[in-house]
Amino acid sequence: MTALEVEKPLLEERPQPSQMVQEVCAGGEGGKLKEGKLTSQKAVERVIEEDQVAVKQSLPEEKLETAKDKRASAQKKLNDLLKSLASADPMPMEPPLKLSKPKARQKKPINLDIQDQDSELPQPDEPVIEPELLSATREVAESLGGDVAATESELLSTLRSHTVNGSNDGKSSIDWSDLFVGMKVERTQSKPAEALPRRRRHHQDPSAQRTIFGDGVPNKKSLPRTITRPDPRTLARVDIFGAECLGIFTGESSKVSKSAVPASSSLVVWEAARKRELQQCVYHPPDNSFTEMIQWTKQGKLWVFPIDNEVGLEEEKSVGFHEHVFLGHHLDGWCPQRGPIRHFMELVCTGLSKNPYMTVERKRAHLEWYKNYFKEKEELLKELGAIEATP
Amino acid sequence: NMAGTLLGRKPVKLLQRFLKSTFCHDVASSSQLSSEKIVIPNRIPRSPTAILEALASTVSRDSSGPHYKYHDDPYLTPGSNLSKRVFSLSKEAGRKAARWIRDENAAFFTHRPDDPFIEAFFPKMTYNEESNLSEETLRELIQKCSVSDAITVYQLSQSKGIELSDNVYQELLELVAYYNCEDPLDEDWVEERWYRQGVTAVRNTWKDNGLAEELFKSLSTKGSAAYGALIRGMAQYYQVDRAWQLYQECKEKNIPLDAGTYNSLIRVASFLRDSFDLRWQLVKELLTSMAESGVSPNLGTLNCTLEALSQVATWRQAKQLSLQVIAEFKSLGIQPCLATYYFLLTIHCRERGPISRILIDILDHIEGKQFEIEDPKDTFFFVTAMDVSRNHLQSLEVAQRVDKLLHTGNNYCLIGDSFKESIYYRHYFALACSTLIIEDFMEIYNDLVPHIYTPEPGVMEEVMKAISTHEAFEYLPQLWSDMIVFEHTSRDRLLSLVLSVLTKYQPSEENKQLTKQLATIAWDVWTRVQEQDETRHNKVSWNGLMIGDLLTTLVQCGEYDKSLIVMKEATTNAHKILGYIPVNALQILNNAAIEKEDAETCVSVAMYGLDAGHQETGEMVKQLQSKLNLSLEHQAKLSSAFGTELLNDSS
Repeated sequence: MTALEVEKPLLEERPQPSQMVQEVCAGGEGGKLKEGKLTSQKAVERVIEEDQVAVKQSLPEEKLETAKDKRASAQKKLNDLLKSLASADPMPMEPPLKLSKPKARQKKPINLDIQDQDSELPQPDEPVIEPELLSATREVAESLGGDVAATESELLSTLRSHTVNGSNDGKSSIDWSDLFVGMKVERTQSKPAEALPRRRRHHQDPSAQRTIFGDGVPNKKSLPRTITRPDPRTLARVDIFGAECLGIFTGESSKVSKSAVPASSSLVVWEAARKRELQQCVYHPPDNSFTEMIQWTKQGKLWVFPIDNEVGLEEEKSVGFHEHVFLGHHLDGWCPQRGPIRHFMELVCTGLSKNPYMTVERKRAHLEWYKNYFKEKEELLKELGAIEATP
Repeated sequence: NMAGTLLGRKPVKLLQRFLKSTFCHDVASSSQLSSEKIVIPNRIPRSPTAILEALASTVSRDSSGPHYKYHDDPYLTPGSNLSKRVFSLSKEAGRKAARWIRDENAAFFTHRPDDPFIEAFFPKMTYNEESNLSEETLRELIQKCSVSDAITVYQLSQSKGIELSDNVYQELLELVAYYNCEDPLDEDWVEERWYRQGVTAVRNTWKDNGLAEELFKSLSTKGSAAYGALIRGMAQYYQVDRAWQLYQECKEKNIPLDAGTYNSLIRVASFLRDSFDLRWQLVKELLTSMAESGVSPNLGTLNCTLEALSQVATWRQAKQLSLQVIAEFKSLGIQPCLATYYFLLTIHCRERGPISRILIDILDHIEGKQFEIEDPKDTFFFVTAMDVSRNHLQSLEVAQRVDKLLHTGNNYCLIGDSFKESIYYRHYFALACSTLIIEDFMEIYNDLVPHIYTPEPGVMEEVMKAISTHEAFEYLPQLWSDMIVFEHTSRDRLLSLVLSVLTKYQPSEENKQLTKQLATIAWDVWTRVQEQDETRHNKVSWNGLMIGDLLTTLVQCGEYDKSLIVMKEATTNAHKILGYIPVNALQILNNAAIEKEDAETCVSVAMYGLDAGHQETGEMVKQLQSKLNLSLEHQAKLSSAFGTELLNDSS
């Protein structure tokens, strides 16, 4: 039973120029149109253009009759709509638009009596038509030629009849509130009970409702946005993978020659650079010290996990521990079986086998050095009896 | 000790007995156990960072504290977007300075105790005439992607007459073609990359006749690799016409090209033709010649084709074609990545076009999956998906699904950069603000603000409007403190919005504390604007409406004395205030003054009202005369201003 529902069916049969005018009347001052970007000025121009077309079609003959017809049909439509209200399901969740109205009309006292729906609506004393619209109408009438005055009045009367519709909205400010109360309940499914009373806490008087909804015009923000758009779930599904194939690669001809050229890319450096840049895209300032350490590890600034004491010993990777530890066999062949030299060399081997800082290569070289050294001094050693003359 | 010796003697039997007693309660089955083999699982090879990654996955982002990168000190925790940026970049600037000093004074950094040697910690090698150069040096530099050094070494070896193999020429060509002869951002400068706006300009930035082309010419045999590298480089930097010329050359000379090269051409095909269908025709030609020459397409082909389609997204057939392309590649066994979905979104969800629910269908497909980066455009998906949820579908439910996907696994690293992240949250936030009731919205607010997201002034305005609509004044103190931290207090629009919200507040007995807080806010607004630096560039200037709101709030919240200070300033410095104080604010102050029997104020309010040309001033004076006993001085002042007629009339 609200103004809202009056407008809803009207808007469903779009692009009637006259309805566009109504939209302009409704939205001209309050704010943007549904489409958003159009200013009211532009919208008026558009409306006039469309009206022009409409009028042109009906111009040639019986201008007056058309005028009457139009008025009659407009009223008839309105009546039909009002009648259909009773049967139509109330749809409080889906008011079609933000319904701001020109301030001029809000200033006059709001008639709280709800009109008898079936009776004809009385014409308001002086429906307000914006001066811009007036002058635009005149221009249109002039551009059409013929009986300028008649055309103009015809256009204006059409406009007025819609202004009546428009002002009809303003009549039921209280209905508005009720409507939105309903919406609020819908919207706050989780906690409907506490949401509302808290809002009204500061307003014990019945006029509180008016403060909540400002001057009868609902604040855009208080409505869920989905109102202006259809619920996405009701839209047609897009089957992403269900379309027909293009048939370029899947066609018969291409399948034959597929194995002709190797697929792998030959641009090694290019691919490496691309990979590098890709990885950089996901390197972000680290979130915690673990991710920071991951980055450092990848940059080679940290020892890699799991840490053992062989990190970075690339040279020695293929060398077994036994080669480090068991060095005795290197003495075979040149070292005397007993005596001080043997004793000394065994100590050298023990020392080397415990040294983790030398590579096996160097240990061998070390032993080699002793071997050569003792060889050089062989004469002297024999003299001293450190080695037996005949082994 | 006993166990030790026993184990030493018969370890196997003991182990068996132990296993029996612990695992087999059933005696009958115990005899079978000895015959069962113990299967030792294969060693799972782990990457060097596997342990760290496992540890890191246990730590989630703590929204209640500042980001890890900031200094761990509440005093140094940034709040506003600007300070976040400044703090992070300053920290990095310090690192850069240190590195600069190190590189400038390389001679002092010769002590190398570390084993293994960590290259990142030592000064960069510089190359000059005296350096000992070889092909190997160049190759290493190419591997490290240090473009400028590689170019230097190349030029040095040219002048020294060092022989380089064709192989190195080819590698260097690929490198300079990829980076367009410029050094990439060092991988250490994480913050710079994070704050850099990742959107590169779509215009020709290719260095014509640069080193890449020189190298190309100097190659003795120009095969598909050489052509491929040059075409890819030109296409990547939008030197489209010449890339196309080279492609034609290849066709003439019958040089086969690889998939990557075709992809790069497909990506820029739209720049070569004008009308929608001609552009698509060209893409199709390229795809067909790919198929004919037996090059198997890859994920890059799919994404480049869709990118080409997204450039003609206003074309009526684009949507249908995009789905066909996806289906085609699906049948080839190529799985789409996030970039693919990003292009789908840009094609299907146009600002002016009809509403498409493709995002929901995409989400149905990829919900709960984890993604690795596969295409540079992968990082555009989340921000675009959130944009679509807010502006196209206007559905918080979808937005929440997108957000959930973003927080699945490691997907968050695909958010892109700080720019995309903040746009992502801006959309999410604004959508939540306009759809949720204020309590639920504030939950999100408290979760994200200030450490994850700092609302921009425009978003804060939306929040303020929501507060105003819901009359949820209890959140104002918190929001005002946040606005101070976010440095929003020097914005005219926000300040007047705050003041107008404050006027709606009706104090009552039960919320005295809130009344006091709101009065503090109003007074804070006043002092902040009054004390702002004279030399500031964008100074906030008072207007009549703001002063009126301020007066109303102060009077309503019981700060009558403070409102007098404001009124005094407004009368003495009226020239600093744009417009006049609206009459309802004056009336409120007047009524309060009458109640307090403050004739002085009443008279000055009346004088101000007269100056401002408010019609209702006469009424106010009458009221004042009937309710207060005015001194002679005040009487005289009023009568000189309003004329004796008015005064006599009332008495």
